[in-house]
Amino acid sequence: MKRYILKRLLLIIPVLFGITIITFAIIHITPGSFTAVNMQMDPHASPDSIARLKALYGLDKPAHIQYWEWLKRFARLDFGRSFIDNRPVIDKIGERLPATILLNVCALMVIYFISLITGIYAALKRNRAFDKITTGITFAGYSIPDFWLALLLMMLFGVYLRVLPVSGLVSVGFENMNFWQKTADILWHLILPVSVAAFTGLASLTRYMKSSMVDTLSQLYIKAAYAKGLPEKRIIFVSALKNSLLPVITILGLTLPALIGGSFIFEVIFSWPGMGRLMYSALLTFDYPVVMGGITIAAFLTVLGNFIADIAYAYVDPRIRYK
Amino acid sequence: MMVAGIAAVSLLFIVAIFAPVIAPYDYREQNIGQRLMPPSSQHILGTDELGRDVFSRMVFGTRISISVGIIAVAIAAFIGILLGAIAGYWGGWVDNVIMRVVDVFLSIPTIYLILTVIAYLGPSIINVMIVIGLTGWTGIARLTRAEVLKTKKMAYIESAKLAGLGKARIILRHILPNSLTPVLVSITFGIAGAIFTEAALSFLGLGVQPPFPSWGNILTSGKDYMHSAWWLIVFPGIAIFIAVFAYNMLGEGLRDYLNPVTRRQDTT
Amino acid sequence: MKPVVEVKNLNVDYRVGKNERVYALRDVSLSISRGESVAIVGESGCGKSTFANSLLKLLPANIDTSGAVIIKGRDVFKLSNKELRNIRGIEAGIIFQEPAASLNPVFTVKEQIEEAIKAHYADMSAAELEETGLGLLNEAGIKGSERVYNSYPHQLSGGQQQRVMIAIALSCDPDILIADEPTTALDVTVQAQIIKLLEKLKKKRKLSLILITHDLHLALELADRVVVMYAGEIVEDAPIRKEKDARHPYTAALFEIIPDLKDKKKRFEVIEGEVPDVRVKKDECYFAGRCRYVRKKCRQAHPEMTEKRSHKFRCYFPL
Repeated sequence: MKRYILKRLLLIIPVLFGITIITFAIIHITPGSFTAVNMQMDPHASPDSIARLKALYGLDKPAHIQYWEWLKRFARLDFGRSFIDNRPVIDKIGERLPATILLNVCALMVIYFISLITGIYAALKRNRAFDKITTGITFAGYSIPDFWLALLLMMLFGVYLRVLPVSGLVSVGFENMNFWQKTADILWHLILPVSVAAFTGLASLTRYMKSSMVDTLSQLYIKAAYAKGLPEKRIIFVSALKNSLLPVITILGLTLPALIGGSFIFEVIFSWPGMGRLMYSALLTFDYPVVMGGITIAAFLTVLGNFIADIAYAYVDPRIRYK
Repeated sequence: MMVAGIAAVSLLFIVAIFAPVIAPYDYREQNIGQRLMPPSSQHILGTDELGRDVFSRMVFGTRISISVGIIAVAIAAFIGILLGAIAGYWGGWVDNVIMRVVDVFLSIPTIYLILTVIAYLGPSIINVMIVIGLTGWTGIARLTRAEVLKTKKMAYIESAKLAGLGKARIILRHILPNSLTPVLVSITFGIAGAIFTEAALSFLGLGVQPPFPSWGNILTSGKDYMHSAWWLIVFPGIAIFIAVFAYNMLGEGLRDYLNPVTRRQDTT
Repeated sequence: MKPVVEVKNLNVDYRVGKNERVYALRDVSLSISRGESVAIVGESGCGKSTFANSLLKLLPANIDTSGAVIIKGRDVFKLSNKELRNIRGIEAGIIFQEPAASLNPVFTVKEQIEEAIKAHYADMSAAELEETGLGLLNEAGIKGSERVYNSYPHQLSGGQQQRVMIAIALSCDPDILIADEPTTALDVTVQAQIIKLLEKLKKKRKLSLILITHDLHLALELADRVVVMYAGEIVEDAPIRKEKDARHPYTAALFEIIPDLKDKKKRFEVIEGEVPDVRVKKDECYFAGRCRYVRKKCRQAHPEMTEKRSHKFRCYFPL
């Protein structure tokens, strides 16, 4: 098991380096370089200050030295300062990250909860009404554009029915609420974004869970479990389920990038104060340090998430844990 | 399933090709006096904030969505098949390097990557196609590589090698044709995804720019006028849904059709 | 004395594809007394595995059945799932051909044995469960039972896995042990060990061993009675000890094809022809196409089971 972890760690390192290389390349190769943009921002900039800026960012040194500088700063989590308000990028991201994580984690929980139950049930009632209906819904659901769904629900619940808030994490006057009111307020704001975010994830995971369960149930050891005279509930929810969940855990690692990236659009639509929204405004205002910082952090989180999912899988599957 | 998919996709193609005939108005034609009108006999799907007929814009939008979908995936497929075949056939460190690159691409959330490049290059239809292509090759590459690895082991490749055929010839003539069927399925799903991505980008204002019509950018107006013009939200979304659904159906149908297991009727 | 197992006119059809049926078991009737061991012998596809599974109603959903399978006086096909739990494990245990696939890969041997016991004896303490479990492993001939007890299936050898299966099957003291090709997937040396074990347990626990096998040798070694199946039917049912006892041509042929290392003439005999298509029902003897003694009558009507001095056979012209 330890060897497995070690091996996985070793595989990650080149990927992490690769991410830093790509982000570095994007900054320095594409046309809109730092100094050009800064000049746009400040038309009074003299050639002197430009030269100083160049020195500051090390833009006059050869590429490999710049990369090394980039790595060093990266290790300190120093992504520079925002072009807009000159605050450290890492601070701006830091204050927005919790909201994104909150949204994604809630969505993940909803997805897993519903998918597992629906998937298991569909596997048990295979080819009967429930299964066929669920398959149909998930298939259609998979094709529905999520941002459209967001708009539709927003229109329905926010504008016409006026029961749910359509923007933000908290309501006006949040600071004056007590703890319980605050929690309730946040939850109320979470309903729409989480519902939409969970929707498309549900489609694929339900399908996956169902096929995993169907697969497990056809195994000989399940027949043997019946032959032992075990109660059916135990056979399904203990003997079979543990086996079916294993491949689903690996999927967990793969849904992470989708969620982190995907919540971006919901954050924009619902004005959710998360990292995605920050990235959006940064992109529109050409605030490159924020953009690069955001991408790098998102990428790292993804790699981390995958790594944890891998380890979790190895831990749970005895065939890997005890080689 | 496959039949339905083919039918739906053909319908889309017909609408795209015959757009000028089908659409009652020119998609650019503005008519401020008629702005934000609900569906009526004159404008069956209503008008947008500049008085343009929504239905006409949507019909022409079909052209954009389909062409973006296909070209973007063509780019992705080209890169993906190339890299996948090389990785699979050569193996060794070439394979390792390519796979690490795939891993890196996969760990950066695709949307961020796309958005960043668009922000740098500027939004336009061509850039959208390029960028979706440049980010969507990873799945195809992995699939191709797996198939090539499988086929490589087969005996008849050995006999081709013995006969002295050059490496490139072996790949092109013998390995690829057999490996490509699952890739075909992947490409079909890829088109569905590309259509979706284009719509999302246009919606965010980073894809197709007005006055060119895209289902996505009609939705942008929809968002701004949510309170008064529900038709700007409902109809373009349905169009996107139908297009994506059509290709997904086609993909599923293809997958079942090409899968020898599900094809057989009797299972003794 | 009432038989422990009584099968009456059992028919099992598999519904396959749009309109097709596979007639896996056709009008099978059989009776087994307490302590009596029976071997069900036949080629692949003759229905013997379906028969084994039918005994405990371990059949898939796409089947139609008629007839009765009566275990200790209760018809398995008429029982609810809950009632079946009182038969499975308690009256009869079963082991399968692939021991590795029969054990749940994500649970330890301890968990799998103890859950079998707990399902029927809910009030045992943890210590009692462990003691019983270890005892079962020892009885099944496993050395180092403590280590094996806490292992996962993939950490054990094929022989050990099968022994664990046997331990589980016998954990609640059934009178009947069904063994579906128990040694086919094992190495030859391990095969011999498992067979010895089955013999020992049979005697010690006074089990009715129902052995499913394609190996006539094995059948003769472990069973008092041999039941030969062909194309879903029983063609012979008798206490056969040697070739001369066989009265059905198929049984005789089975004896002939056993390779005899001493007889240079009889190296590799075969039975010419192929197994008939079990998707059709014909009104003739199903072995007619391959029988060397076939006569006109054999193809005109389907022969019924005849009984002469507790020797049953399905043939117009028995040997």
